[in-house]
Amino acid sequence: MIIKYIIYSFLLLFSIETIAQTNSLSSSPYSLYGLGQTNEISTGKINGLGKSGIAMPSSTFINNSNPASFASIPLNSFFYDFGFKAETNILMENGRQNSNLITNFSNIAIAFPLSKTSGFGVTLTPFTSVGYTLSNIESNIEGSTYSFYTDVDGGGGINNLKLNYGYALSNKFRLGLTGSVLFGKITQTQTSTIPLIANNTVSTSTISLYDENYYSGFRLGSGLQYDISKNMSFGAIVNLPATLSADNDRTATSSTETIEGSVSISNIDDFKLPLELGFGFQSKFNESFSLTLDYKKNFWDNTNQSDQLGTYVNQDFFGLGLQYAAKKNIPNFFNRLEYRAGFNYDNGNLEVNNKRVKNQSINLGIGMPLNSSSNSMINIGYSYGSKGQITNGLIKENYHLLSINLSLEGIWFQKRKID
Amino acid sequence: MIIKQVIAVPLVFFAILFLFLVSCEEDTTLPVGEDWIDVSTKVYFIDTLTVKATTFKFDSIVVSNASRLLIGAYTDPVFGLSKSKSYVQLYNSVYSLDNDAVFDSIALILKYDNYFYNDTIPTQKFNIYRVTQKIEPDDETDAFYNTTEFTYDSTPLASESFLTYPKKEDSLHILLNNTFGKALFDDIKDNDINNSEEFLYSEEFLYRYKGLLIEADHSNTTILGFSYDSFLRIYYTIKDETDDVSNEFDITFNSSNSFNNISSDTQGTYFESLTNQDVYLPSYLTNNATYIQAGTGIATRIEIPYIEKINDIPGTGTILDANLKISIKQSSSTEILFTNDDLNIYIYNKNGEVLGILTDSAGETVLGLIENESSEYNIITYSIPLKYFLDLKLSTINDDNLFLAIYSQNYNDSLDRYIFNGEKASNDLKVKLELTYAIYDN
Repeated sequence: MIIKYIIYSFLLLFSIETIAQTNSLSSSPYSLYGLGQTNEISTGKINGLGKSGIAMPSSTFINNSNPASFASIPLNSFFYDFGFKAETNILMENGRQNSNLITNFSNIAIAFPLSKTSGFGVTLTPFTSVGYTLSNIESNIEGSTYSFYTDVDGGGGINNLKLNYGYALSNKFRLGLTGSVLFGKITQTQTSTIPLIANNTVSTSTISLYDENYYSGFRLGSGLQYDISKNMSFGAIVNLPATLSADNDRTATSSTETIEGSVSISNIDDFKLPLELGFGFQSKFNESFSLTLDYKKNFWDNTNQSDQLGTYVNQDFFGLGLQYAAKKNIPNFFNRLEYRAGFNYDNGNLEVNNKRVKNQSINLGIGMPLNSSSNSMINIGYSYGSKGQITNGLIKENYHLLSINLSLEGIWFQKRKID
Repeated sequence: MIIKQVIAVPLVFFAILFLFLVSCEEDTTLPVGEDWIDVSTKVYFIDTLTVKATTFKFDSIVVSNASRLLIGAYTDPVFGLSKSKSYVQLYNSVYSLDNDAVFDSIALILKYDNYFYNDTIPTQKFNIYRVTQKIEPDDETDAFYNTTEFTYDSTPLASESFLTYPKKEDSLHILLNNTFGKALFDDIKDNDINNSEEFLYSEEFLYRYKGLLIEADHSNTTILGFSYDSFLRIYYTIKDETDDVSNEFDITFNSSNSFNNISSDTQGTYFESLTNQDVYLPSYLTNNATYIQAGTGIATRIEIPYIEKINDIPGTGTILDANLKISIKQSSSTEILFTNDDLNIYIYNKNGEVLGILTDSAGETVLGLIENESSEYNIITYSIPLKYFLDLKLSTINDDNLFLAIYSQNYNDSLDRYIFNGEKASNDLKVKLELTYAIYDN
């Protein structure tokens, strides 16, 4: 029975994986650089709490922030998490403005206990996503005063299939190991419309370049969680540097003929992911309140990477979250809700014209239990944030992000008292 | 059962919701951020590649299938005395005449076909001779050439001076020698040629009457075009009890054994040295010009010797468009020495073998077309699409073997001439190659 459901879950996981690969999950010009926009959405409650969860256990939902938390999955519980997001962003660049709406899948996860002291989980999330359309980029035809125009479309993204294992050394101390398989395809189509000057006619020729960049790699990480007291926990994570190997396929076609078949050129660099260190803190007080605080640092400097847009620099993340859950002794619907608020800030890993592309957002969240016999809950998070700035040739991007996470708990081997 | 309720129901629900959400994705055009990207395609407009333009002369050109009889002569200031004469074979049908018929006269009636070149106003003179050799195409190639000659009786059947009105009148009428006409008349009337014991009828007729040569006097000033529907006309009378009834009898031409011998006297011209097809006159030695003369085989050769230099541009690229611009030397195209709107282009090799007509990448024949015509400044520029040719050259190992020959249209039945600006002419008039080249991978 259990095995059957595990198999079903994996089947679903992999059918969604293929969809995740082919859809652009972003519509931000910032997804042009590197591997695209880093996915901000996590599992469960985290989205309403400033993305902070390093010190949080996985006792009621899947906390993907720290593998050590998987040790706290209760025996007989089987967690699922399905995430969806809807994002609308408003882009501003020196008086020009544009907006987009993107809705898509944001994660799928399962987790289950292996024993009283250990747990295991698999999570599939977008690691990065790419989605942009740039129209009518003007370029000079060298040797003439004429111009040609290019439309650029980007899409695709990198998926993160993350395996988490947590083991509790004691009631208070948990260790975790994580391994991420990162894979995906980033595509770009450049279509240039070139006027044929020589003919005095308005005839044009087009050249389309379709690039498929395949990335794949493996990243290891580990984490720990320590409960200082009943109401206070500490957590830490480390994700090791990793290299995503890259393969490029470029197909070039012109309006008159196929110039060249698909030839693997492999002229793109492998992408390096930096060392990531993170620390988290959680404190409960007044029985109803819980405060979480995260700090992470990504050591991009050491990857010595740059992009045509700028260079990669060390990046700091701060996350702060506060949750209120009323005492459960009064059986009222509103009393059973969880209310969350959070704030997160990161100073960006990209420096353009000596300016960093900063990202900050405030989040509000609400958790609605689906029934009283389990921890199943719908978590709805709303974030309002901004990236970049209008000055120095950057683009300011404001976004509204709505996330829905269905965090489900299946109870195994427990008979109901009343059927 | 319990597990099913807890898990399966939400699973199905969210699978449906998920599909709905995926299909909801919306992507709109984003005008911002375009400075952020490097366009991978680079496009170059190149008009500085070397073009070598020379003039050469085909040893001979095939004139079978000409569409007219071309007869005339004029002295061109550049091309020298240019002339064309026509050999015509009579059509050997079964002819019969009334026994009472009496020969009157015989005339050659040449129907104008509207083509003429140079000055038609002065008096012209044609000489008509009796051909004494069987008119037949070359044994091996089954073709007539512009250089093909047959022997003829040097005593003309007629030597006619006339004023020509090729547009106003519909034919030219030349009376021929009566002795010739009477003999032909009697042969038909007596049925001699029909009842030969030696030959079949057709061979007997052609044995006796091999054909006519119509040649213009060298002092003529124009080249005239006549239709193959021209004919010999015999006038005769039949004596009646009361009156004489005038009658006429036509003998048409066999167009498949009639052709034009077209030549020029190049003495004292630039083309004097073109005694062999291998000789190429560079434009800078011939008044910075190259030349075409239809009929005589003078053509312009275009060589693009260093096209592979475009591979020096870093990256992998493709020719998007290539056009050769070649312009008529100013004032060399006039109302009476006119040029046409189209040029024929052939690809040929070092050995002078024509490999085929120039096409585009889809295999469609391409012509040189007038791209720019300004009557005010007397500028006529032709544009010749060369993308296919350059692609062929770039993909051919011995690419320096491939050349282009620019001919006139109607090269087997006209004397149209073209004088093009060469590569040393002023920048806007010289022959040049305009190339649009795109690099798509670097």
